[in-house]
Amino acid sequence: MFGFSAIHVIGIVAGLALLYQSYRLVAARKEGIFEFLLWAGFGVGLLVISIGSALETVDLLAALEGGLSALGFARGTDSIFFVSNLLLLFVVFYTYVQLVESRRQLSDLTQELALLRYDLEQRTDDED
Amino acid sequence: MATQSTRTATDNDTPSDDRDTARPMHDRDTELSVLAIVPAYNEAGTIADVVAETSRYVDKVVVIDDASTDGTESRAREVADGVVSHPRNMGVGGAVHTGYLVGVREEFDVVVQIDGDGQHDPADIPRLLERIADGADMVIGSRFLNDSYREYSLVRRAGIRFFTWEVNALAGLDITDVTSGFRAYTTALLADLSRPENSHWALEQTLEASRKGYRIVEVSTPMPPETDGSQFDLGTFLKYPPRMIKTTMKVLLFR
Ligand SMILES: Nc1nc2c(ncn2[C@@H]2O[C@H](COP(=O)(O)OP(=O)(O)O)[C@@H](O)[C@H]2O)c(=O)[nH]1
Ligand SMILES: [Mg+2]
Repeated sequence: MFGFSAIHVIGIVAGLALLYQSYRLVAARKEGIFEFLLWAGFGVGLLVISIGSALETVDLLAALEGGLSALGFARGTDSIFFVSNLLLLFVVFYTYVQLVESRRQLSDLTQELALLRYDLEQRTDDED
Repeated sequence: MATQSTRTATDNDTPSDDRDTARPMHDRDTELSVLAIVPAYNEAGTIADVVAETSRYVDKVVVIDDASTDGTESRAREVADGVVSHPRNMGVGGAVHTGYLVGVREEFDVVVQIDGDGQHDPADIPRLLERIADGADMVIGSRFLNDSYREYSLVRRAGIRFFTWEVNALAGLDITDVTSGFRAYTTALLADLSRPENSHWALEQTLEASRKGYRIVEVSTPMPPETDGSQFDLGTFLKYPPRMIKTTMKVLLFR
């Protein structure tokens, strides 16, 4: 009934790891709900695909391909690659936006730190 | 605090036939309080002179030391009314923006921006301020309204002309030197501008101000090229095409 090969095991382990780590982060409030759902979603997706394709009774890949070709994609395997690349692109874009925002905040902090020191000096200068 | 000046001109009543440079602007024409900000990165050799000269024409001089490694900070502290030291280098755009924050928070009416490398002549400050008093929101000191542009390499001139043409075409302006860092602004304008990117801050700033409807004018200011800068090297030449594409995109896309 099961036909696990190495690739399935890797997929399952990676999926579980993603789920566990993203849960750990959100539980410690180190990531937001949106990030949690994003990463956990990838984890679940990985698990479904790995376990599903290892099941001999359900032909998941064929089902996926069927679903995608119903959407208008020409060849099944290609469309799976296309969709996963699209998802990755989305993740990279999201990460990039976050990075730009952090950089801006870092600049703000650098300036505020410098201005705070300047303010203090101005005050001590006024006293003497 | 902003309006109070510790430097009173000594020769207020002596008639002088040379340039209108000897007396502080605010004592003569207007009651505008003026802060000068001097961005400086490794300018230990020139910063003290620039600050000392500049302080003759404004109420307060603050140096923005952009994490210099050559003693610029201590030289500046000897002469300036205040020094803001960035803990890490932020580039020219970051340095001038820090200066704007000082001007806005200390509620000056006007901010004059002058480079710490000695390229700009502080004696031109009163002429910049005059235009502000006349109602301009931003005054740019241009090296193309006098002969000093001739001393620049052809590449550099072409670059400045290209950027200027671009901004003029897309923002409906008629200026000659958009890359100049010798400027005066009302703090009302500065408070309304967003943080500039570190490269090409001048271009972005001019565009944004113009799009927001502020009045931008130019005055002629002599501006020799950096003495240590090489006149025509392949490096600058090769850097131009990507820079031009980048700034063109900015001009087109920035709102
Ligand atoms: N090159 C450089 N200049 C900086 C920086 N931060 C502040 N500055 C100051 O910004 C001013 C203009 O810089 P400069 O390189 O001379 O620009 P240019 O004259 O427009 O080519 C000078 O007073 C510099 O000391 C930085 O990170 N790099
Ligand atoms: Mg310079």
